[in-house]
Amino acid sequence: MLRWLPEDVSTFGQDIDSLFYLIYYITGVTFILVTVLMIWFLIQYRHREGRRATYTHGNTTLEIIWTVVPAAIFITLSFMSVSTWARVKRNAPDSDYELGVTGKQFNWEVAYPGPDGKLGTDDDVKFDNDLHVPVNKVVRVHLASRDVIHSFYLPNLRLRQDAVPGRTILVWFEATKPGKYELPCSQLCGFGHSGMKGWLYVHTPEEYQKWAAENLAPKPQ
Amino acid sequence: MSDTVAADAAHAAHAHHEELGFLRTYVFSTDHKMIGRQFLFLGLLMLLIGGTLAMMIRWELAWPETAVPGFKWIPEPYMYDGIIPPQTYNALFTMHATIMIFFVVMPIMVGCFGNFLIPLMIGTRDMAFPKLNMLSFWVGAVAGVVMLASFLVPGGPAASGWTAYATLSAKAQYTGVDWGQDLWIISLMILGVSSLMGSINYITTIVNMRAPGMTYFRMPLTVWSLFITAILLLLALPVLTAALAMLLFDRTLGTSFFLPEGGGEPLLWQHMFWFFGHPEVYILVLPAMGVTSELLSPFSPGSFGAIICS
Repeated sequence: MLRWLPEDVSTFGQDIDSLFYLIYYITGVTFILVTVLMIWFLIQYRHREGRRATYTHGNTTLEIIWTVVPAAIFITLSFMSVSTWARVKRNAPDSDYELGVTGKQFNWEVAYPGPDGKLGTDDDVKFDNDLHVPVNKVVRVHLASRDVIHSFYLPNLRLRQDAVPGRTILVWFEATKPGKYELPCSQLCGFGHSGMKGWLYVHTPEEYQKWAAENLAPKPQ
Repeated sequence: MSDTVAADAAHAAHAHHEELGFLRTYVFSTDHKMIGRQFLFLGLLMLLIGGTLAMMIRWELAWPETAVPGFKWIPEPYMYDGIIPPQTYNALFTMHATIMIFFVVMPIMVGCFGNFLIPLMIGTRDMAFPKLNMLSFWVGAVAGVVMLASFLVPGGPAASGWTAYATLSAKAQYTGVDWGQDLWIISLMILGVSSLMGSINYITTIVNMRAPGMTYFRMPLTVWSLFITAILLLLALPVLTAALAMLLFDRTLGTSFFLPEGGGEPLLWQHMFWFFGHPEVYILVLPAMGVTSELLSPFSPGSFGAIICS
């Protein structure tokens, strides 16, 4: 099996990758089939002295086959992807870790609930471009944008979602391995787009406690 | 009375064979072959410009932040001694895509092949509306001039991608491009009118002016592909034109079709744009497929190339 995708550290990554590889192999086989057939036709039916063209009205059986087979493949793939889509995009599980991420030209503004434990209030703790989460925990991200459309993209977590101004979109992920993973903006958002990049830090439980105690605890007055 | 009419008609028929002047032959021609050539040369001219932009993009990717040879004359802040800044890079790929799609592939594949081949292949003397045909080309040429003019205005040309997603495209402050984006919108609206005139002409010609015996099922695949292309153009382009008008109003008149702070919806642009954008890929590829299948059958006797490509 080819391994061209970035390392998968997401709980739903395997679902997405297997769909990707399935489609990849179907199109790969089709591509080879069509190319071989075309080369064979070029040689088989090349110009030869004395051979005349023949007229064909078509072949109904063949036409039905090459219409029905792709249609069946498309319909099967659609049904297969519906459940994955629902799992990734529709049914976000409950979580103790709720974050706000707001795209703005050209930063990701990351907000953690303050001492009141609620997101979106004045005491939120905010960071630019750095997202710290614990490993093996569901993290819910409330995604918004302040100016233009940005796209929240975590390739290692197989998660991508546009942040659209005027609405808040809920996404979720659960990282399975501690590490530092890139978080680029993947929708053209202006002249600074190529430099709009954040980092996702996935911590072990102890490390996360330590980080939270240092950064999220209420500051002494 | 009827004699006079007959005489007039004879006179008119005679006059038709008179030599036309330079202007009527080469510039404001109503001859479908000349208009086909005009579309070809418009497309080739724009190909040089769009191709140059592509070379600049490739140069930046291959040797980032080094001077592009021959471009030192472009003033700051558009280029710095030949070096491409990020803002200009965005403008380059935006204009490259726009020019290649709307001013190269469409004029050559649809405008040139359509005008040149349809009357010849269905057996008629010219298109159904020769004057509309001429107007279609010249309106298209005006759109080209407006698009190229956007390189010369302060702020530079459009830089929000060829898909011009709102809200990036809907406010000058987000890209730093003011007039450039407005001219981009206006140019594509004008071009939409040009394509609309062309598509009405193609559809009318193919439906009404086929030679006796040229039934739909005997019609060459090239004409079929151009027929379907024209129908797609007719249905898809007005939606883009409407979306562009709304975008222009958001930018210049203070409306909020796509701006959430005024109650608008940025995703509305994407829905309207891709209502056009999805058929557009078939508009671009169908004529090429038609021509390919047409060429395959005579050059590979015995194969069923026509069936494969249809």
